[in-house]
Amino acid sequence: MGDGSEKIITIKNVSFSYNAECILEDINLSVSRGDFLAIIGPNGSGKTTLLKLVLGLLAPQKGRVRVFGHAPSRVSDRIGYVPQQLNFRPDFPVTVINVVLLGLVSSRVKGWRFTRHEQERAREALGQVDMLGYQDRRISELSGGQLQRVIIARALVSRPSLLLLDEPTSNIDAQGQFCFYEFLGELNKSISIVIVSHDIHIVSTRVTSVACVNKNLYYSPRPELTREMLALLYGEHDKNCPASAALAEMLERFSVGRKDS
Amino acid sequence: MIEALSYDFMQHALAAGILAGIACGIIGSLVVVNRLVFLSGGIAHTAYGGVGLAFFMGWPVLPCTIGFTLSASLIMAVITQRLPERVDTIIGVMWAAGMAFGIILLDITPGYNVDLMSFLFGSILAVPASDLWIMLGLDIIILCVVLLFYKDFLAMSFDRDFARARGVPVMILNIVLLAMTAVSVVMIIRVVGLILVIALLTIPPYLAERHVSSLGKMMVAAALWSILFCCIGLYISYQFNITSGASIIACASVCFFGVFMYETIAKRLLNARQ
Repeated sequence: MGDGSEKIITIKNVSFSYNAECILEDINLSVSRGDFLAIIGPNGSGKTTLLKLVLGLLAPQKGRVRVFGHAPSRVSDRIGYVPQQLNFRPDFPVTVINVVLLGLVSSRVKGWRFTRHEQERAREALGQVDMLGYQDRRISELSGGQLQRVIIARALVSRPSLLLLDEPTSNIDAQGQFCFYEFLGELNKSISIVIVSHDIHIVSTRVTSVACVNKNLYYSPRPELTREMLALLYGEHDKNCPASAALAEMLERFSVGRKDS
Repeated sequence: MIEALSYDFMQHALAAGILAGIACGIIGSLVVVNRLVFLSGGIAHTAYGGVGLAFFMGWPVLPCTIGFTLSASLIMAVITQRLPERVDTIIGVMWAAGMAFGIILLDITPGYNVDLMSFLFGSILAVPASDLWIMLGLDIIILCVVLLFYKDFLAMSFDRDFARARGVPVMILNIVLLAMTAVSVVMIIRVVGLILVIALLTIPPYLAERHVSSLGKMMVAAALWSILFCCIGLYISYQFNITSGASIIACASVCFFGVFMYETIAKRLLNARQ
Protein backbone atom coordinates (compact mmCIF):
# COMPACT_ATOMS: atom_id res chain seq x y z
CA MET A 1 0.00 0.00 0.00
CA GLY A 2 3.01 2.27 0.07
CA ASP A 3 2.99 2.91 3.81
CA GLY A 4 6.23 4.53 4.85
CA SER A 5 7.46 4.67 1.26
CA GLU A 6 8.26 7.82 -0.70
CA LYS A 7 5.49 10.45 -0.81
CA ILE A 8 4.98 11.55 -4.40
CA ILE A 9 2.07 13.93 -3.87
CA THR A 10 1.68 16.07 -0.77
CA ILE A 11 -1.22 18.47 -0.45
CA LYS A 12 -1.04 20.63 2.66
CA ASN A 13 -3.85 22.89 3.97
CA VAL A 14 -4.98 23.66 0.44
CA SER A 15 -8.01 25.87 -0.17
CA PHE A 16 -9.35 26.93 -3.53
CA SER A 17 -12.25 29.23 -4.37
CA TYR A 18 -13.67 30.31 -7.68
CA ASN A 19 -15.51 33.64 -7.83
CA ALA A 20 -15.68 33.84 -4.04
CA GLU A 21 -17.30 30.40 -3.91
CA CYS A 22 -15.23 28.01 -1.85
CA ILE A 23 -14.66 24.81 -3.83
CA LEU A 24 -12.05 23.11 -1.65
CA GLU A 25 -11.41 23.88 1.97
CA ASP A 26 -8.30 22.99 3.96
CA ILE A 27 -7.47 19.83 2.04
CA ASN A 28 -4.71 17.52 3.26
CA LEU A 29 -3.71 14.47 1.28
CA SER A 30 -0.61 12.52 0.48
CA VAL A 31 -0.03 9.82 -2.10
CA SER A 32 2.84 7.36 -1.84
CA ARG A 33 4.71 5.62 -4.63
CA GLY A 34 2.75 2.58 -5.78
CA ASP A 35 -0.63 3.85 -4.58
CA PHE A 36 -3.79 3.46 -6.63
CA LEU A 37 -5.98 6.20 -5.17
CA ALA A 38 -9.60 6.77 -6.12
CA ILE A 39 -10.95 10.28 -5.49
CA ILE A 40 -14.73 10.11 -5.44
CA GLY A 41 -17.33 12.80 -5.05
CA PRO A 42 -20.54 14.05 -6.63
CA ASN A 43 -20.54 16.44 -9.60
CA GLY A 44 -19.31 19.86 -8.60
CA SER A 45 -17.65 18.54 -5.45
CA GLY A 46 -14.24 19.90 -6.40
CA LYS A 47 -12.59 16.63 -7.37
CA THR A 48 -11.60 17.80 -10.84
CA THR A 49 -10.33 21.03 -9.26
CA LEU A 50 -8.21 18.94 -6.90
CA LEU A 51 -6.74 17.06 -9.87
CA LYS A 52 -6.01 20.32 -11.68
CA LEU A 53 -4.20 21.60 -8.60
CA VAL A 54 -2.00 18.50 -8.66
CA LEU A 55 -1.34 19.08 -12.37
CA GLY A 56 -0.44 22.72 -11.78
CA LEU A 57 -3.25 23.87 -14.10
CA LEU A 58 -4.65 25.79 -11.13
CA ALA A 59 -2.77 27.37 -8.24
CA PRO A 60 -4.17 27.13 -4.71
CA GLN A 61 -5.06 30.36 -2.93
CA LYS A 62 -3.96 28.84 0.35
CA GLY A 63 -1.69 25.94 1.17
CA ARG A 64 0.86 24.03 -0.88
CA VAL A 65 0.87 21.30 -3.50
CA ARG A 66 4.06 19.32 -4.11
CA VAL A 67 4.54 16.58 -6.66
CA PHE A 68 7.78 14.58 -6.48
CA GLY A 69 8.88 17.27 -4.04
CA HIS A 70 8.53 20.12 -6.56
CA ALA A 71 5.94 22.58 -7.80
CA PRO A 72 3.67 20.62 -10.19
CA SER A 73 4.59 22.61 -13.31
CA ARG A 74 8.26 21.66 -12.89
CA VAL A 75 7.59 17.93 -13.05
CA SER A 76 5.08 17.83 -15.93
CA ASP A 77 7.37 15.34 -17.71
CA ARG A 78 6.76 12.77 -14.99
CA ILE A 79 2.97 13.08 -14.88
CA GLY A 80 0.64 11.36 -17.33
CA TYR A 81 -2.74 13.08 -17.62
CA VAL A 82 -6.01 11.67 -18.95
CA PRO A 83 -8.50 14.56 -19.02
CA GLN A 84 -12.27 14.26 -19.30
CA GLN A 85 -12.96 13.15 -22.80
CA LEU A 86 -15.01 16.06 -24.08
CA ASN A 87 -12.01 18.37 -23.87
CA PHE A 88 -11.53 18.07 -27.61
CA ARG A 89 -13.51 17.67 -30.81
CA PRO A 90 -13.60 14.05 -31.92
CA ASP A 91 -13.68 15.27 -35.56
CA PHE A 92 -10.35 17.10 -35.23
CA PRO A 93 -8.15 16.38 -38.28
CA VAL A 94 -5.48 14.31 -36.62
CA THR A 95 -4.36 10.68 -36.80
CA VAL A 96 -4.17 8.28 -33.87
CA ILE A 97 -0.37 8.23 -33.74
CA ASN A 98 -0.18 12.03 -33.81
CA VAL A 99 -2.54 12.28 -30.84
CA VAL A 100 -0.23 9.94 -28.92
CA LEU A 101 2.81 11.98 -30.01
CA LEU A 102 1.24 15.07 -28.42
CA GLY A 103 2.05 13.37 -25.12
CA LEU A 104 5.73 14.04 -25.92
CA VAL A 105 5.32 17.74 -26.72
CA SER A 106 7.12 19.89 -24.20
CA SER A 107 8.06 23.50 -23.82
CA ARG A 108 11.64 22.81 -24.79
CA VAL A 109 11.59 21.05 -28.15
CA LYS A 110 10.53 23.09 -31.19
CA GLY A 111 9.87 22.29 -34.82
CA TRP A 112 7.17 20.61 -36.82
CA ARG A 113 8.39 17.02 -36.99
CA PHE A 114 8.49 14.24 -34.45
CA THR A 115 11.68 12.18 -34.48
CA ARG A 116 11.88 8.53 -35.45
CA HIS A 117 12.59 7.71 -31.82
CA GLU A 118 9.43 9.56 -30.71
CA GLN A 119 7.37 7.72 -33.33
CA GLU A 120 8.76 4.44 -32.02
CA ARG A 121 7.73 5.34 -28.48
CA ALA A 122 4.26 6.33 -29.63
CA ARG A 123 3.86 2.92 -31.31
CA GLU A 124 5.03 1.28 -28.10
CA ALA A 125 2.37 3.20 -26.10
CA LEU A 126 -0.30 2.24 -28.65
CA GLY A 127 0.79 -1.37 -28.24
CA GLN A 128 0.32 -1.05 -24.49
CA VAL A 129 -3.35 -0.15 -24.98
CA ASP A 130 -3.78 -2.65 -27.82
CA MET A 131 -4.40 -0.05 -30.52
CA LEU A 132 -1.34 -0.59 -32.70
CA GLY A 133 -3.32 -1.42 -35.84
CA TYR A 134 -5.06 1.94 -35.80
CA GLN A 135 -2.08 4.29 -35.85
CA ASP A 136 -2.82 5.93 -39.21
CA ARG A 137 -6.59 6.22 -38.77
CA ARG A 138 -8.15 9.63 -38.26
CA ILE A 139 -9.61 9.80 -34.74
CA SER A 140 -13.09 10.54 -36.10
CA GLU A 141 -13.18 6.90 -37.29
CA LEU A 142 -12.78 5.49 -33.77
CA SER A 143 -15.42 4.41 -31.27
CA GLY A 144 -15.65 6.06 -27.87
CA GLY A 145 -13.82 3.20 -26.17
CA GLN A 146 -11.04 3.15 -28.78
CA LEU A 147 -10.60 6.90 -28.49
CA GLN A 148 -10.31 6.54 -24.73
CA ARG A 149 -7.48 4.02 -25.15
CA VAL A 150 -5.66 6.41 -27.50
CA ILE A 151 -5.96 9.16 -24.88
CA ILE A 152 -4.45 6.80 -22.32
CA ALA A 153 -1.62 5.98 -24.71
CA ARG A 154 -1.01 9.72 -25.00
CA ALA A 155 -0.62 9.88 -21.22
CA LEU A 156 1.66 6.81 -21.13
CA VAL A 157 3.98 7.74 -23.98
CA SER A 158 6.13 9.99 -21.81
CA ARG A 159 6.67 7.00 -19.44
CA PRO A 160 5.31 8.85 -16.41
CA SER A 161 5.73 7.65 -12.82
CA LEU A 162 2.32 9.09 -11.93
CA LEU A 163 -0.89 8.74 -13.90
CA LEU A 164 -3.84 11.09 -13.24
CA LEU A 165 -7.23 10.19 -14.73
CA ASP A 166 -10.37 12.34 -14.68
CA GLU A 167 -13.63 10.36 -15.08
CA PRO A 168 -12.04 8.03 -17.61
CA THR A 169 -14.89 5.53 -17.84
CA SER A 170 -17.76 7.88 -18.72
CA ASN A 171 -17.78 6.74 -22.35
CA ILE A 172 -17.19 3.04 -21.75
CA ASP A 173 -19.89 0.37 -21.28
CA ALA A 174 -20.01 -1.81 -18.16
CA GLN A 175 -18.02 -4.68 -19.62
CA GLY A 176 -15.42 -2.29 -20.99
CA GLN A 177 -15.13 -0.65 -17.58
CA PHE A 178 -14.27 -3.95 -15.94
CA CYS A 179 -11.47 -4.53 -18.47
CA PHE A 180 -10.35 -0.97 -18.04
CA TYR A 181 -9.96 -1.22 -14.27
CA GLU A 182 -8.11 -4.51 -14.66
CA PHE A 183 -5.81 -2.76 -17.14
CA LEU A 184 -5.18 0.03 -14.63
CA GLY A 185 -4.52 -2.59 -11.94
CA GLU A 186 -1.79 -4.10 -14.13
CA LEU A 187 -0.34 -0.63 -14.86
CA ASN A 188 -0.28 0.06 -11.13
CA LYS A 189 2.50 -2.50 -10.76
CA SER A 190 4.88 0.08 -12.23
CA ILE A 191 3.03 3.44 -11.99
CA SER A 192 1.26 5.26 -9.18
CA ILE A 193 -2.32 6.11 -10.17
CA VAL A 194 -4.85 8.70 -9.05
CA ILE A 195 -8.30 8.36 -10.56
CA VAL A 196 -11.20 10.77 -10.15
CA SER A 197 -14.74 9.41 -10.40
CA HIS A 198 -18.31 10.11 -9.32
CA ASP A 199 -19.01 6.36 -9.22
CA ILE A 200 -18.56 4.83 -5.75
CA HIS A 201 -18.36 1.34 -7.26
CA ILE A 202 -14.80 2.16 -8.17
CA VAL A 203 -14.01 1.18 -4.57
CA SER A 204 -14.57 -2.47 -5.47
CA THR A 205 -11.97 -2.39 -8.27
CA ARG A 206 -8.24 -2.73 -7.78
CA VAL A 207 -7.76 0.64 -6.05
CA THR A 208 -5.67 0.61 -2.86
CA SER A 209 -6.97 3.75 -1.16
CA VAL A 210 -9.93 6.10 -1.34
CA ALA A 211 -10.48 9.81 -0.81
CA CYS A 212 -13.93 11.35 -0.69
CA VAL A 213 -14.24 14.99 -1.72
CA ASN A 214 -17.10 17.37 -1.24
CA LYS A 215 -15.42 20.68 -0.41
CA ASN A 216 -13.72 18.79 2.44
CA LEU A 217 -11.80 15.57 2.08
CA TYR A 218 -11.85 12.27 3.92
CA TYR A 219 -9.13 9.75 3.26
CA SER A 220 -9.02 6.05 3.84
CA PRO A 221 -5.78 4.11 3.32
CA ARG A 222 -7.84 1.04 2.36
CA PRO A 223 -10.34 0.51 -0.49
CA GLU A 224 -13.37 1.13 1.71
CA LEU A 225 -16.00 3.76 2.35
CA THR A 226 -16.47 4.96 5.92
CA ARG A 227 -19.56 6.42 7.55
CA GLU A 228 -18.00 9.90 7.40
CA MET A 229 -17.38 9.54 3.68
CA LEU A 230 -20.96 8.54 2.97
CA ALA A 231 -22.15 11.46 5.06
CA LEU A 232 -19.90 13.73 3.01
CA LEU A 233 -21.24 12.33 -0.28
CA TYR A 234 -24.91 11.97 0.52
CA GLY A 235 -25.48 14.10 3.63
CA GLU A 236 -26.76 13.04 7.05
CA HIS A 237 -30.15 11.37 7.01
CA ASP A 238 -32.70 10.78 9.74
CA LYS A 239 -33.36 7.16 10.73
CA ASN A 240 -36.86 7.37 9.23
CA CYS A 241 -35.60 8.61 5.91
CA PRO A 242 -35.51 5.84 3.26
CA ALA A 243 -32.01 6.99 2.34
CA SER A 244 -30.76 5.92 5.73
CA ALA A 245 -31.38 2.23 5.00
CA ALA A 246 -29.75 2.53 1.60
CA LEU A 247 -26.69 4.18 3.15
CA ALA A 248 -26.43 1.46 5.78
CA GLU A 249 -26.46 -1.14 3.02
CA MET A 250 -23.80 0.77 1.11
CA LEU A 251 -21.64 0.99 4.17
CA GLU A 252 -21.96 -2.77 4.54
CA ARG A 253 -20.94 -3.34 0.93
CA PHE A 254 -18.06 -0.91 0.70
CA SER A 255 -16.48 -1.05 4.15
CA VAL A 256 -13.63 -3.17 5.48
CA GLY A 257 -14.47 -6.77 6.34
CA ARG A 258 -16.68 -6.99 3.23
CA LYS A 259 -16.41 -10.27 1.42
CA ASP A 260 -13.96 -9.97 -1.42
CA SER A 261 -15.49 -11.38 -4.56
CA MET B 1 -7.73 35.92 -69.79
CA ILE B 2 -4.20 35.63 -71.16
CA GLU B 3 -4.21 39.20 -72.45
CA ALA B 4 -5.58 40.31 -69.08
CA LEU B 5 -2.45 38.93 -67.43
CA SER B 6 -0.29 41.31 -69.41
CA TYR B 7 -1.67 44.19 -67.35
CA ASP B 8 0.29 45.14 -64.26
CA PHE B 9 -2.82 45.48 -62.08
CA MET B 10 -3.89 41.94 -63.03
CA GLN B 11 -0.48 40.49 -62.15
CA HIS B 12 -0.58 42.34 -58.86
CA ALA B 13 -4.12 41.08 -58.22
CA LEU B 14 -3.06 37.47 -58.82
CA ALA B 15 -0.03 37.86 -56.57
CA ALA B 16 -2.19 39.42 -53.84
CA GLY B 17 -4.66 36.55 -54.15
CA ILE B 18 -1.91 33.97 -53.76
CA LEU B 19 -0.24 35.77 -50.83
CA ALA B 20 -3.55 36.28 -49.03
CA GLY B 21 -4.50 32.67 -49.80
CA ILE B 22 -1.39 31.37 -48.05
CA ALA B 23 -2.21 33.37 -44.92
CA CYS B 24 -5.87 32.31 -45.14
CA GLY B 25 -4.94 28.67 -45.33
CA ILE B 26 -2.58 28.69 -42.36
CA ILE B 27 -4.38 31.10 -40.05
CA GLY B 28 -7.90 30.17 -41.17
CA SER B 29 -7.21 26.53 -40.26
CA LEU B 30 -6.02 27.52 -36.78
CA VAL B 31 -8.99 29.88 -36.39
CA VAL B 32 -11.47 27.17 -37.37
CA VAL B 33 -10.04 24.37 -35.21
CA ASN B 34 -9.70 26.73 -32.23
CA ARG B 35 -13.25 28.04 -32.78
CA LEU B 36 -12.10 31.64 -33.05
CA VAL B 37 -14.31 32.53 -36.01
CA PHE B 38 -16.38 35.04 -34.04
CA LEU B 39 -13.22 36.51 -32.55
CA SER B 40 -11.67 37.01 -36.00
CA GLY B 41 -14.90 38.70 -37.04
CA GLY B 42 -14.40 41.06 -34.13
CA ILE B 43 -10.81 41.70 -35.13
CA ALA B 44 -11.84 42.32 -38.76
CA HIS B 45 -14.35 44.99 -37.79
CA THR B 46 -12.04 46.56 -35.24
CA ALA B 47 -9.61 46.95 -38.14
CA TYR B 48 -11.96 49.54 -39.54
CA GLY B 49 -10.95 51.78 -36.66
CA GLY B 50 -7.38 51.50 -37.96
CA VAL B 51 -8.48 52.53 -41.44
CA GLY B 52 -10.26 55.56 -40.01
CA LEU B 53 -7.22 56.46 -37.94
CA ALA B 54 -4.93 56.22 -40.97
CA PHE B 55 -7.13 58.53 -43.06
CA PHE B 56 -7.59 60.98 -40.22
CA MET B 57 -3.90 61.24 -39.42
CA GLY B 58 -2.82 61.00 -43.05
CA TRP B 59 -0.66 57.94 -42.33
CA PRO B 60 -0.01 55.09 -44.80
CA VAL B 61 -3.09 52.88 -44.60
CA LEU B 62 -1.77 49.30 -44.57
CA PRO B 63 0.93 49.66 -41.84
CA CYS B 64 -1.36 51.81 -39.72
CA THR B 65 -4.26 49.37 -39.97
CA ILE B 66 -1.96 46.45 -39.15
CA GLY B 67 -0.61 48.26 -36.09
CA PHE B 68 -4.07 49.26 -34.87
CA THR B 69 -5.57 45.79 -35.41
CA LEU B 70 -2.59 44.14 -33.77
CA SER B 71 -3.05 46.24 -30.62
CA ALA B 72 -6.79 45.52 -30.61
CA SER B 73 -6.16 41.76 -30.90
CA LEU B 74 -3.67 41.88 -28.01
CA ILE B 75 -6.23 43.66 -25.83
CA MET B 76 -8.79 41.03 -26.82
CA ALA B 77 -6.36 38.23 -25.97
CA VAL B 78 -5.68 39.63 -22.52
CA ILE B 79 -9.34 40.32 -21.73
CA THR B 80 -10.52 36.93 -22.96
CA GLN B 81 -7.93 35.22 -20.79
CA ARG B 82 -8.91 37.19 -17.71
CA LEU B 83 -12.68 36.82 -18.24
CA PRO B 84 -13.20 33.62 -20.27
CA GLU B 85 -16.92 33.48 -19.47
CA ARG B 86 -17.44 36.93 -21.00
CA VAL B 87 -15.56 36.37 -24.24
CA ASP B 88 -18.50 36.71 -26.63
CA THR B 89 -19.78 39.91 -25.03
CA ILE B 90 -16.37 41.56 -25.07
CA ILE B 91 -15.79 40.61 -28.69
CA GLY B 92 -19.20 42.05 -29.57
CA VAL B 93 -18.39 45.32 -27.84
CA MET B 94 -14.98 45.71 -29.51
CA TRP B 95 -16.51 44.73 -32.85
CA ALA B 96 -19.00 47.59 -32.64
CA ALA B 97 -16.66 50.09 -30.98
CA GLY B 98 -13.90 49.65 -33.59
CA MET B 99 -16.39 50.11 -36.41
CA ALA B 100 -17.90 53.26 -34.85
CA PHE B 101 -14.46 54.71 -34.10
CA GLY B 102 -13.45 54.25 -37.73
CA ILE B 103 -16.63 55.79 -39.12
CA ILE B 104 -16.40 58.83 -36.84
CA LEU B 105 -12.77 59.43 -37.77
CA LEU B 106 -13.61 59.17 -41.48
CA ASP B 107 -16.56 61.53 -41.00
CA ILE B 108 -14.39 64.24 -39.48
CA THR B 109 -11.61 63.76 -42.02
CA PRO B 110 -11.82 66.59 -44.54
CA GLY B 111 -12.30 65.69 -48.19
CA TYR B 112 -14.04 62.88 -50.02
CA ASN B 113 -12.54 59.43 -49.41
CA VAL B 114 -12.80 57.35 -52.56
CA ASP B 115 -10.87 54.50 -50.97
CA LEU B 116 -13.51 53.86 -48.29
CA MET B 117 -15.57 51.43 -50.34
CA SER B 118 -12.46 49.52 -51.27
CA PHE B 119 -11.91 48.67 -47.63
CA LEU B 120 -15.44 47.45 -47.24
CA PHE B 121 -15.44 45.33 -50.38
CA GLY B 122 -11.78 44.87 -51.19
CA SER B 123 -9.60 46.37 -53.88
CA ILE B 124 -7.59 43.49 -55.24
CA LEU B 125 -7.40 45.21 -58.64
CA ALA B 126 -5.61 48.20 -57.10
CA VAL B 127 -2.92 46.63 -54.93
CA PRO B 128 0.34 48.58 -55.24
CA ALA B 129 3.66 46.73 -55.41
CA SER B 130 4.68 48.09 -51.99
CA ASP B 131 1.68 46.35 -50.39
CA LEU B 132 2.64 43.11 -52.11
CA TRP B 133 6.06 43.25 -50.47
CA ILE B 134 4.49 43.84 -47.05
CA MET B 135 2.15 40.90 -47.64
CA LEU B 136 5.05 38.68 -48.66
CA GLY B 137 6.95 39.65 -45.52
CA LEU B 138 3.96 38.89 -43.31
CA ASP B 139 3.42 35.54 -45.04
CA ILE B 140 7.03 34.60 -44.35
CA ILE B 141 6.71 35.59 -40.68
CA ILE B 142 3.48 33.62 -40.27
CA LEU B 143 4.99 30.59 -42.00
CA CYS B 144 8.12 30.66 -39.82
CA VAL B 145 6.18 31.06 -36.57
CA VAL B 146 3.76 28.25 -37.39
CA LEU B 147 6.55 25.90 -38.54
CA LEU B 148 8.62 26.61 -35.44
CA PHE B 149 5.72 26.15 -33.01
CA TYR B 150 3.68 23.67 -35.04
CA LYS B 151 3.65 20.98 -32.37
CA ASP B 152 2.68 23.47 -29.69
CA PHE B 153 -0.12 24.92 -31.85
CA LEU B 154 -1.35 21.41 -32.57
CA ALA B 155 -1.29 20.47 -28.88
CA MET B 156 -3.06 23.69 -27.91
CA SER B 157 -5.69 23.40 -30.65
CA PHE B 158 -6.45 19.78 -29.89
CA ASP B 159 -6.65 19.82 -26.10
CA ARG B 160 -5.80 23.00 -24.24
CA ASP B 161 -5.76 21.52 -20.72
CA PHE B 162 -3.52 18.65 -21.73
CA ALA B 163 -1.17 21.02 -23.54
CA ARG B 164 -0.92 23.19 -20.44
CA ALA B 165 -0.29 20.14 -18.29
CA ARG B 166 2.60 19.27 -20.64
CA GLY B 167 4.13 22.70 -20.06
CA VAL B 168 3.17 24.18 -23.45
CA PRO B 169 2.95 28.00 -23.03
CA VAL B 170 -0.71 28.11 -24.08
CA MET B 171 -1.24 31.70 -22.95
CA ILE B 172 1.60 33.07 -25.07
CA LEU B 173 0.65 30.92 -28.06
CA ASN B 174 -2.89 32.21 -27.84
CA ILE B 175 -1.65 35.79 -27.99
CA VAL B 176 0.63 34.95 -30.91
CA LEU B 177 -2.25 33.27 -32.73
CA LEU B 178 -4.53 36.29 -32.26
CA ALA B 179 -1.76 38.62 -33.42
CA MET B 180 -1.24 36.53 -36.56
CA THR B 181 -4.99 36.48 -37.09
CA ALA B 182 -5.04 40.27 -36.92
CA VAL B 183 -2.27 40.54 -39.49
CA SER B 184 -3.95 38.06 -41.83
CA VAL B 185 -7.31 39.74 -41.48
CA VAL B 186 -5.84 43.07 -42.57
CA MET B 187 -4.21 41.33 -45.53
CA ILE B 188 -7.45 39.66 -46.56
CA ILE B 189 -9.31 42.95 -46.20
CA ARG B 190 -7.06 44.23 -49.00
CA VAL B 191 -8.28 41.42 -51.24
CA VAL B 192 -11.94 40.81 -50.47
CA GLY B 193 -12.82 43.61 -48.06
CA LEU B 194 -13.91 43.85 -44.50
CA ILE B 195 -17.44 42.55 -45.03
CA LEU B 196 -16.34 39.32 -46.64
CA VAL B 197 -13.24 38.51 -44.65
CA ILE B 198 -14.86 35.82 -42.52
CA ALA B 199 -15.97 33.82 -45.54
CA LEU B 200 -12.44 33.52 -46.89
CA LEU B 201 -11.11 32.67 -43.43
CA THR B 202 -13.65 29.89 -42.84
CA ILE B 203 -14.81 28.35 -46.13
CA PRO B 204 -11.40 27.14 -47.37
CA PRO B 205 -10.51 25.54 -43.98
CA TYR B 206 -13.95 23.91 -43.84
CA LEU B 207 -13.52 22.41 -47.30
CA ALA B 208 -9.98 21.34 -46.41
CA GLU B 209 -10.77 19.80 -43.03
CA ARG B 210 -13.06 17.02 -44.20
CA HIS B 211 -10.59 14.63 -45.76
CA VAL B 212 -7.16 15.51 -44.43
CA SER B 213 -5.40 13.60 -41.67
CA SER B 214 -3.44 16.42 -40.07
CA LEU B 215 -3.57 20.10 -39.23
CA GLY B 216 -0.58 20.76 -41.51
CA LYS B 217 -2.29 19.16 -44.51
CA MET B 218 -5.42 21.13 -43.65
CA MET B 219 -3.40 24.34 -43.86
CA VAL B 220 -1.97 23.42 -47.27
CA ALA B 221 -5.32 22.32 -48.66
CA ALA B 222 -7.06 25.43 -47.32
CA ALA B 223 -4.39 27.65 -48.89
CA LEU B 224 -4.90 25.91 -52.24
CA TRP B 225 -8.69 26.34 -52.02
CA SER B 226 -8.21 30.05 -51.19
CA ILE B 227 -5.90 30.59 -54.14
CA LEU B 228 -8.31 28.73 -56.42
CA PHE B 229 -11.23 30.91 -55.28
CA CYS B 230 -9.18 34.07 -55.79
CA CYS B 231 -8.16 33.04 -59.32
CA ILE B 232 -11.65 32.00 -60.43
CA GLY B 233 -13.22 35.01 -58.71
CA LEU B 234 -10.77 37.35 -60.42
CA TYR B 235 -11.49 35.80 -63.80
CA ILE B 236 -15.25 36.18 -63.33
CA SER B 237 -14.77 39.71 -62.07
CA TYR B 238 -12.70 40.60 -65.15
CA GLN B 239 -14.99 38.90 -67.68
CA PHE B 240 -18.31 40.16 -66.36
CA ASN B 241 -17.19 43.41 -64.74
CA ILE B 242 -18.32 42.41 -61.21
CA THR B 243 -16.84 43.66 -57.92
CA SER B 244 -13.83 41.41 -57.37
CA GLY B 245 -14.31 40.79 -53.62
CA ALA B 246 -17.90 39.75 -54.09
CA SER B 247 -17.12 37.44 -56.99
CA ILE B 248 -14.32 35.72 -55.03
CA ILE B 249 -16.66 35.05 -52.11
CA ALA B 250 -19.52 34.06 -54.42
CA CYS B 251 -17.22 31.50 -55.95
CA ALA B 252 -16.23 30.17 -52.49
CA SER B 253 -19.83 30.11 -51.29
CA VAL B 254 -21.10 28.22 -54.34
CA CYS B 255 -18.34 25.68 -53.78
CA PHE B 256 -19.20 25.43 -50.05
CA PHE B 257 -22.92 24.82 -50.63
CA GLY B 258 -22.19 22.47 -53.53
CA VAL B 259 -19.92 20.29 -51.41
CA PHE B 260 -22.27 20.51 -48.43
CA MET B 261 -25.29 19.39 -50.50
CA TYR B 262 -23.32 16.70 -52.30
CA GLU B 263 -22.19 15.22 -48.98
CA THR B 264 -25.66 15.37 -47.43
CA ILE B 265 -27.22 13.64 -50.45
CA ALA B 266 -24.41 11.07 -50.64
CA LYS B 267 -24.89 10.25 -46.97
CA ARG B 268 -28.66 9.85 -47.45
CA LEU B 269 -28.13 7.55 -50.42
CA LEU B 270 -25.59 5.50 -48.50
CA ASN B 271 -27.96 5.15 -45.54
CA ALA B 272 -30.87 4.26 -47.85
CA ARG B 273 -28.83 1.49 -49.45
CA GLN B 274 -27.88 -0.10 -46.15
